[in-house]
This record gives sequence, C-alpha cells and structure tokens, in this order.
Amino acid sequence: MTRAAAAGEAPRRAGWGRLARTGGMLATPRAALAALERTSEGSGMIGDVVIFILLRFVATRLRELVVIVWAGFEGSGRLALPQILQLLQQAVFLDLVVILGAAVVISVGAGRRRRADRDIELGAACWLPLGALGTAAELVNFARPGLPQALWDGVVLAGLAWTLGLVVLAITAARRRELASS
Amino acid sequence: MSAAPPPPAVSPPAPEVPARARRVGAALWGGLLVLGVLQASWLSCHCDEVRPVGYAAPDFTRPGIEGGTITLSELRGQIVLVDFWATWCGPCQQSMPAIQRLYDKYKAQGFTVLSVNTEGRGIEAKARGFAAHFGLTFPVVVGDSALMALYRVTTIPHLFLIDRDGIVRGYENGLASVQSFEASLERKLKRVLARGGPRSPTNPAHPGPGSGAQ
Repeated sequence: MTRAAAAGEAPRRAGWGRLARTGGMLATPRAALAALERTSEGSGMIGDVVIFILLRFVATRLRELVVIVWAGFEGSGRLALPQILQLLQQAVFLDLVVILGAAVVISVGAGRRRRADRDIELGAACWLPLGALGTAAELVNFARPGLPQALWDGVVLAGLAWTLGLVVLAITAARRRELASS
Repeated sequence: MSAAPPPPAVSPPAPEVPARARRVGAALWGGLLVLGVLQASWLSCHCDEVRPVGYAAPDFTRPGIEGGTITLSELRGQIVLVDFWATWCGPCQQSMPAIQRLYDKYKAQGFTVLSVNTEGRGIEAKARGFAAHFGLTFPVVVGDSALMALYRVTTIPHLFLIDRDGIVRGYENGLASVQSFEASLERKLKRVLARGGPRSPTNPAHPGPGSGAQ
C-alpha cells in the first residue's frame, strides 16, 4: 500500500494528472478543489501553473524573444538577459498579483483553518481562468491581428470575475479542513 | 471477554476524475501548444522582420541642430553609424566619447556618424550644448518618434552601422560598458570596412524595421 493511499488521500498520479487538475478547475471546479484538498503533500498545482505561465510567455512573446536574442548576438550580448527578464516581468506581473492576491484572500477566508502552503496552491489554481481566457484571446488575435484594446480589457475582466468565483469556492473548500490539533 | 478489535481504517475511494476535466485540460494545454507552433511557423516565414541586420536602412531626412537638413541616402558610399540618443540618457553620454574616437580614427576611410537626437523639435540649443560639451564633430540631427518607429527603436542608445550600399550590417542596443561597446562597434566597423566599396547601385528590397523614406 502506498504512503498516499495509507494516508487516505487521493493518489496524486492516480487520476488527477496535470490535464485533469488544470482542466478540472475550469470545468468541474468543486471536484477539482476537493481533490486538491485531499492531497497531503501538495497537489502539483503550483508546478502546473508555473509551467503554464512560462510556456504561455514563450508562445506569446516568441517574436520579442527572438529579436532580443538575435540582437544580442549582433550587439551587446550581455544586455539580452536583462531585456528578457524585463519582458518576463511585464508578461507575468498581473498573473503573480492575481495568484498571490487570491492566496491571501483564501487564507483570510479560511480563518483558523488556513494553511499557507495549501492556500498558495488554491490561489494558483484560481488563476487558471485568467490564463485560459488570455490564451484564447491570443489565439484569436493571431488569426485576426489587431484586436481592440476594449476586447483585451474585457477578457481580463471576465478572467478576473471567473477567478473571483473560484476564490469563493476555494474558501468554502478550505473551511472544510480539519482544525489542526494544538 | 474482550471486545472485538475495531476494523482497520479503510480509506474512502477517491472519486473518479470527471472526463470533462480531462477534456478541458487537454484543450487548454493544446491551445497553448497550437499558439506556440503558430508563432514559430510565423517566425520561420517572416524571418526578415525580426532580424537586426542585413536589410536596407530606411531613408530619412531630418533637420540638423546647426541648421539645414541631412538625408541619410545622401551619405551613400560612406559607412554610416546612425546613433539614436537623448541628452538625458546616461549611457548615451557615456557612449559619445567612444563614438567620437571611432569617428576620428576611421573618418579618413569613409566612415561617418549621423547622430540622431530623439527628443524632437525645440531641443536644438540643448543638443548643441551637449555636442559642444562632448566635442562632437560629426553631424547631429533632430529625430522624432516617427523616425524611432521607422527603425523600431524603443531604447537608447541604439545604433545601426550601415555599409556603403545602405545595408544595415551592425547593431548595438544599450551599453553594458564603454570598453565592450567601443570594442564591439570597432570590430563591426572593421568588418564592414573590409568589405570594400559599394557593390551594387541598388539596395535589395527588404521590409526591414520599416521601409520607405520619411
């Protein structure tokens, strides 16, 4: 019997793999949150979100990255890394703010049942709608370049509203935790 | 008589993963993959639009800080270093003596500098003071945001080394250190000088970072 099974938790890799974990937060959030809360050693959600954010950064900023790297070969190569880091910072700033903000709200909402590590995982999970809608908008923009700014703003607002809904569900899930014995 | 031992704790079976979760997850990650592949394929077809060298330098005419106008294409036949800068820019100030040294060293071999202040009209007096302070003896013109957009200049100092045929052959963006900047620029200049005189009467058409005269 595995340690995870012995601990009475849903085995991390026995069903809720990366696809199900991330897709579950969008399609079946209550079940996904419950599964996430059942694990005792981390669900892997933070890793999922970090990988997603980095892949999205490369996919959406590929042109700029190529320009910087190519120009680095032609010009001063030492300046390429700071420029890439600056680009990364611009690209992920909102994402980090949303993840940390959601984690703080969940932690406060959980009251005495708060668990910092688990609340950050839940915060990361709640960010996924923003990432999904942003990726969809980027795909549309690739097919029909020049989407109006109002549409981009609408996508962000819709993503934030969705995220807010998930935060409420996450607080509910967090409040079902057992109180840690003192 | 002892009581029967309690039955061993049985962990509740984990609920099944909804198939919809997997499908949506696959769509999410698949969409990301498709986006990356599309971007990569676009880049492979539009390589010219992102390369920093090897395209015809967009022509422009701008007013000089000493009066009159200067047109880039009138300098054809010379090797031209187009330098975008501003008076408030610290790295630009650091780079100026190095550029002046290279100008002094190589001007006899057909090298010239076309220095472009990016602060727009009304900066002439300040730019003249700047040029006098650094002892600049090459021409300085007043640029604007349209010219910067034409060359896709978003940061300064930003320099383009243009060969005798009007093709951008070298590129510098930013300043890590004056020594490395000067060495890098001189290395590229020597490479262009080694190419010799103009090779063709016309430039290869190229979308480059902008095209056409301003």
